[in-house]
Amino acid sequence: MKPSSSIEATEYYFKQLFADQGDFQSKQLIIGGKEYILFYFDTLIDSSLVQEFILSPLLLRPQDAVRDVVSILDYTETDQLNEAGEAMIFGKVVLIRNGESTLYVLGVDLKKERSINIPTKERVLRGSNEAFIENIDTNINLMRKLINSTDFIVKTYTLGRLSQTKVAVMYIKSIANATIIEELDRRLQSIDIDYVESPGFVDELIREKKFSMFPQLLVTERPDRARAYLMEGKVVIGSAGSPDTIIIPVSFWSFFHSSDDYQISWPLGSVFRILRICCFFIAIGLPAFYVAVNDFNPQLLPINFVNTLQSSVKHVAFPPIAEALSMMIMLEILREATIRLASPIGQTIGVVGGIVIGTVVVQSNLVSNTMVIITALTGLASFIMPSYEMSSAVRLLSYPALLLASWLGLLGLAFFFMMICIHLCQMHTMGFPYFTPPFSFGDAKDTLFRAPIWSLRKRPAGTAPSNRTRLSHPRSWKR
Amino acid sequence: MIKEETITGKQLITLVIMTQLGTEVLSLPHVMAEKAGHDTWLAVLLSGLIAQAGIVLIWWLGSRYPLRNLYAYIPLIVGKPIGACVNLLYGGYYALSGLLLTAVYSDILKRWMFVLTPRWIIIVMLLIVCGYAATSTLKRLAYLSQSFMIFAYISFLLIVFSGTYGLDTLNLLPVFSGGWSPILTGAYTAFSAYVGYDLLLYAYPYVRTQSKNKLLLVMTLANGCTVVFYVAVCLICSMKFSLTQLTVIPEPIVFILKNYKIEILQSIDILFLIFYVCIVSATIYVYFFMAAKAFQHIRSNGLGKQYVWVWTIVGACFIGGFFMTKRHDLLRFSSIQDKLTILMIVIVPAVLLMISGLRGTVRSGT
Repeated sequence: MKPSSSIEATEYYFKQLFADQGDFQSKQLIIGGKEYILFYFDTLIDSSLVQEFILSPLLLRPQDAVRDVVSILDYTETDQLNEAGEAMIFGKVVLIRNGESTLYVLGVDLKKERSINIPTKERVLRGSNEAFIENIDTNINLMRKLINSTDFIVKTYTLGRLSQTKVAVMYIKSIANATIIEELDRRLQSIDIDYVESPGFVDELIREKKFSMFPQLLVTERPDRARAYLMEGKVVIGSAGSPDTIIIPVSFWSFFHSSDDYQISWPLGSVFRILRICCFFIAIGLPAFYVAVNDFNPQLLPINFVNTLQSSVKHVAFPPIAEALSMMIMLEILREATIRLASPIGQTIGVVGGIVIGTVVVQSNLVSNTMVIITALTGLASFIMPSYEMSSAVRLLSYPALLLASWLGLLGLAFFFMMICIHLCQMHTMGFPYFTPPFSFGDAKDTLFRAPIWSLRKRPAGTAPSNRTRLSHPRSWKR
Repeated sequence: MIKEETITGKQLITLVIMTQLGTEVLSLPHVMAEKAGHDTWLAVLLSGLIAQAGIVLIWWLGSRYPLRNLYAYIPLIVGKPIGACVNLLYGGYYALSGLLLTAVYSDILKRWMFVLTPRWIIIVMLLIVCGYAATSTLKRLAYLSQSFMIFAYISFLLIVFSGTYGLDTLNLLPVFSGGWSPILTGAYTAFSAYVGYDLLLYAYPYVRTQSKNKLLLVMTLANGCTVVFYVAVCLICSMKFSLTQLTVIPEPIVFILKNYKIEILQSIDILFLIFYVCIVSATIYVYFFMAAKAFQHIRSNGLGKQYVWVWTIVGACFIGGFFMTKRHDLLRFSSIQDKLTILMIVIVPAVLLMISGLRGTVRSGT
């Protein structure tokens, strides 16, 4: 809609448009004999900026064109009233001068953000201590400072019909596979929703397998981790309002990696990584294994050990499956309770959970003490995984494993692991396989093990990066 | 033609080895003891060589139609109506093979571990797992087989190490005691153990190798690994047991493993039988996959969906499983299946090759 040159008609239009908005302001000024009106939302703008860079220059040079007078970088002109109205919602000031049909849209938005903190959800011992915050511009700034290259591309999208959330897709042009970028663009463009909450909404709207328990994208709040994945040809998606950024496409093995692995010596890093992968199996299978061995195949274990096991179960009234289920649900309740409670009370929960439930339950012969050990070990093993999504998935998977094991014994457990394996093999993210068996040396280098940096000359082939050379002439100073 | 992702040569090796290894690892020494006597290992070796000839045959046939799989080029060779029938026959054959293997393995499990468990429960579980796997593409199956391959390594190591002492080489003598005839009948029996290389019939156009000779090399390598596996198993069993013992023990490998214990595990045989399910199912799901693909190719532009066919086959096999409960029936059925195998993976491809050669069907671009 075009504005008429009459200043009153424009004022009337905006007042009609924002009639119910309490924080909408229109300020009429007469400077140098000319009438000006400023339209803005006073909650969204920084009034000192308006004073300093719009009003005072205007007062000084009232006769010159507005473009030459105001000293604001974010300056646009428009002749569309509805466009100017929308801009105001994003924290712009709209200025009109009597006698002109141009609307001056000036960006003076108020920036409210917390300072950059240390990461709380992904702690590491060595390395960077920065974490993303809720402001997407700050996050992009952090990333740009880590990668000072023109190859580092930040594409922005606006998602959410009503919320108009800014979403930034970051990748490195010379490394990332173009098909991923295209596919991601297609999927993000297709999102038509009223508001977007990242990472949850974005995850569910762009993931391939709708019903899979396994996380298909990695969530991180660490810029250094995001950079490491960018360098493998992956894509990082940040969105306004959330410190959690998404990394896509990821493979199953990424969920066992921590940025710590690359800061300590490679044998240690490899050992810790293998430990995490073992914990994957422990967390899924240990309770099930206990039940299977106790109920079906005690002959599998040495006789003395079986005697110990049986003697601890002897006074317990319930069958092992009931014991295991009740203890695992107990663990789940404790975990949920500690997350929701404030941190000082959280400690108390630990005491209640650990001492009261752990000891008393055994003393009163409700649950055998072996089962308490098993549950504790299962819980710890699941929490060792660096990704919260993966650790929850693993803990939930231990329930069906338990049921199958109590039905068919070890064979049931074998069937369950086969199903998981088949499921993993069938999954793919952004057209790339999610799970690739790492039983050849080249594949195992940065999946099962953390090979030394100088041997990782090529980027991982998982996401088919367009440029695979990572390192040439490693340690050439030696020769 | 129905689309399929390509696999690498390495993946083909894994797929073929995993398809070839089946319950025969457990039962071969017992079955062969009745047929070939002391020369079991020679018969198995000979049979591997025959399988190699079979591979060359299939490779030759496939190389005439390098852009199509078997089911897609059968109609080109024999015409549409007969082609559809042959495809139907292949589908039936693979479904039947899958069923037989399921039944045989559940029989072994029942005898060694699940004496009281109803057989159909084990069959249902196996069928569900294999059916679920068979709904995926060839590439995904290759990934799966690569994952399960670790159990083949473990089994091989277990079998070899369990046979390190108590072996008596005198048990192998005299070589050639009965002349060629027991070895030849033994080779015929052992041939069914090598079935699985016929995956090449379907996989030929989807393997990324530098040349078709490289593909033959890959197949040879896979077959060679299987031959080594089987010959090692047969040698160890023949050296460990006398002939009369072998004819009584149906699964001598399990029997050997039962004898061994380590500090923290008392019976390795249970563990072995349980993770052996991975190796067996790697064969079953390839059969189901091949069967579903055969049915799908009855019409040239695809008939039905793959997963519908797979679950139909699984359902049929479940019902069929109720009719195969007695060991006697199983043995009779498997001897029929042995003949069927020769027909389907040796005679039919050979006939196809001959017709194709006679008609001189256009090679390139089809």
